[in-house]
Amino acid sequence: MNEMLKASIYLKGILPLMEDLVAFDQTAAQAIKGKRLILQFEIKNGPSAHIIIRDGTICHGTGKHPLPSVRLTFKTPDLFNRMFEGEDVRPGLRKGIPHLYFLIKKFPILADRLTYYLEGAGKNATDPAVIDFQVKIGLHAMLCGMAAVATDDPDLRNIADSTPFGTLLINVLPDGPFGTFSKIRQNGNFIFSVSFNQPVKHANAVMEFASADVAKQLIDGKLNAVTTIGLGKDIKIGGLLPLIDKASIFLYQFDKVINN
Amino acid sequence: MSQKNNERYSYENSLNLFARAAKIIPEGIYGHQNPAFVIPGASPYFADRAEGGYFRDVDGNEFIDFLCGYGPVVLGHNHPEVENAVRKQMAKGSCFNHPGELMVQLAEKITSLVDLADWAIFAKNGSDVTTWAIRVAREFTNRKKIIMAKGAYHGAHAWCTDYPGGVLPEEKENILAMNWNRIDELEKLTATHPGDIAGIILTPYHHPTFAAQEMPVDGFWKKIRKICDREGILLIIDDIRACFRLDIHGSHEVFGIKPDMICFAKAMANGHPISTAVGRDRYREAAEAVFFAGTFWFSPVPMAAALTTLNILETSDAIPKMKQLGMRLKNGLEDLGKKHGYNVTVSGPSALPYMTFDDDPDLYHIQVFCREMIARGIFLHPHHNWFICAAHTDADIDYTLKTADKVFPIVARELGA
Ligand SMILES: Cc1ncc(COP(=O)(O)O)c(C=O)c1O
Repeated sequence: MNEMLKASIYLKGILPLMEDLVAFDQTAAQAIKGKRLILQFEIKNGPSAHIIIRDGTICHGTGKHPLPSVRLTFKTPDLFNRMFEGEDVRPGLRKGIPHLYFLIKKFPILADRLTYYLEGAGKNATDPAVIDFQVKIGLHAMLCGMAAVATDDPDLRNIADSTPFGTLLINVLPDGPFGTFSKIRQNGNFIFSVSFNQPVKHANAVMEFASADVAKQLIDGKLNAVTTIGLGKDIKIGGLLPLIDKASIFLYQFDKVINN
Repeated sequence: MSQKNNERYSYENSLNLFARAAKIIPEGIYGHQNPAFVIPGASPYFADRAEGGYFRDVDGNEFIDFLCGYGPVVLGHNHPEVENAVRKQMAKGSCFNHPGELMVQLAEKITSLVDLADWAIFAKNGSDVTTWAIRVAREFTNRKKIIMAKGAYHGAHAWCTDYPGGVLPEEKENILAMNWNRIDELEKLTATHPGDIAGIILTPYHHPTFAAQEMPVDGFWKKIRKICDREGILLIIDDIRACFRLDIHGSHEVFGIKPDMICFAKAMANGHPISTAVGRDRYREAAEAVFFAGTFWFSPVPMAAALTTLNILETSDAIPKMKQLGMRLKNGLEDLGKKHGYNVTVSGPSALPYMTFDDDPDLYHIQVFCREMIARGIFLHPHHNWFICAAHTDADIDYTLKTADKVFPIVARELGA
């Protein structure tokens, strides 16, 4: 498995879920209460991302922040991945000694809570609010993960090149969540970007889940997307199918990498 | 068979069968026939029988068949003469230890029909021969690289598939791509890889999925030939899709192409499984050096079908008839589009037409259009070119246009003009 790609997926596909987590989960919210800091993760010769913790919220950004309070640097992607997966790995702390307590005691709480919803006991929750939250983070992870793979997987560069320009809207009926995965032109080249629960002017392609329950089943791997689309009821697709086709290749790869 | 009445079709049996299939067959139906490629939930998934220019699905819905099995059916389904030849051969046997006389007869027929063909080899699928042909080019030139057009389909094999599953990057390492009609890009590729390019494989015209078909620009094929001669590159024409539908001597005649090798498949045996690659004498030694075999390839049954099909195509008015019917369909649809406030283009040779809504590259309009046509008994693929066969009639075209006249306003109501 390509550790660099995995690190990129964690940084760009999973780390953004912290935003949703602290907005929903009391324990996670408590862990960042009163905190104000910018935490940066850097992998040597690889991707970086940061989260801004402020007023009880988290805001995720890819790339480096100009003024991080803490810089966690990892010599190899493998080290970062092991830390992300809960192993006791000590990154290089370039900056931010005063925040050591937060890093050692509080940050792991966030990671634990996320794991709880994604793959721990919380996965089988029956509380509709929890299910809604899981659909939300599931969809958010799908979108960010697709963009991470599309941007950073060297083996899928040809697929990224041949992905048509445009916006794919993924929507959970009747009331969301929804989000987009787009390939857009930039400076004579292209980038992949993601939006989440933001108004969408025009979608070149649409994928719609009939309910949160259907979306949850798909996220949990209990539903086969291709055959469900074929059955014509629970997942509907339309518009620029090549965009959906390529997005599903990225999604498949995302799934494969994080479950490996 | 004839079309059913005027009610909209429904597809319960198809959907139920698909649910059963999904339990025990990966993807339920895989490849191009996967429902996601057509209109999920609103088109037939399983066929029951076919006759002439029509087919019936497992729900008993009857359709004018404008897909013709994705091309192989050229004379019409269940053609009596072809099926007679098939039955006759079946009675003698279909799987021997050896080829039958029919293989030699068929090779003689094809080499007499196709000008450059000094030899012919046979297989079952298009992919078999395209993959083999590029290996022959490599063998002949002792070079590695192959150029193809972006968005072209040459089969499901690793070197040319768009899908990365199970494909090693190394398997694509020697495949270069240019955009259709872009001689400048070809020049760039030959300049970047001097002495490294074994072959260029192209279809006679560009027939990508999900987009309008593109004809070669003026002088395209002449320039390609010139570059190939200059660089010592083999020109392989993948004529698998149009095959002998446009010209009994091959589509290269229509476009003035001078290939080194040609691959044919779809419309050569009226639906029976057979493909062929043909080439000039100078490539014969290389062809002999590239091992080629398949358990079922020597079956004389499809060869019997091919001989009969080619004879009929050669001696009847089937080819001009398909062209003329296709022209009526093209003109009719473009006029109807205008009448209802749409710019639609029917692209490609008229016997293999495909319609696009010029102002909707996102395909929403063609999807609704085809969904509603299918629901009224006219099977038009929203994303892949269509096929006219010789069993289609003027009445089929009339009925199709009459139906389209009703369907354009439905598209407008659903999506706006
Ligand atoms: C132009 C072209 N080449 C090659 C192929 C591959 O043929 P097959 O599916 O028989 O392997 C096709 C099939 O659609 C085709 O249209």
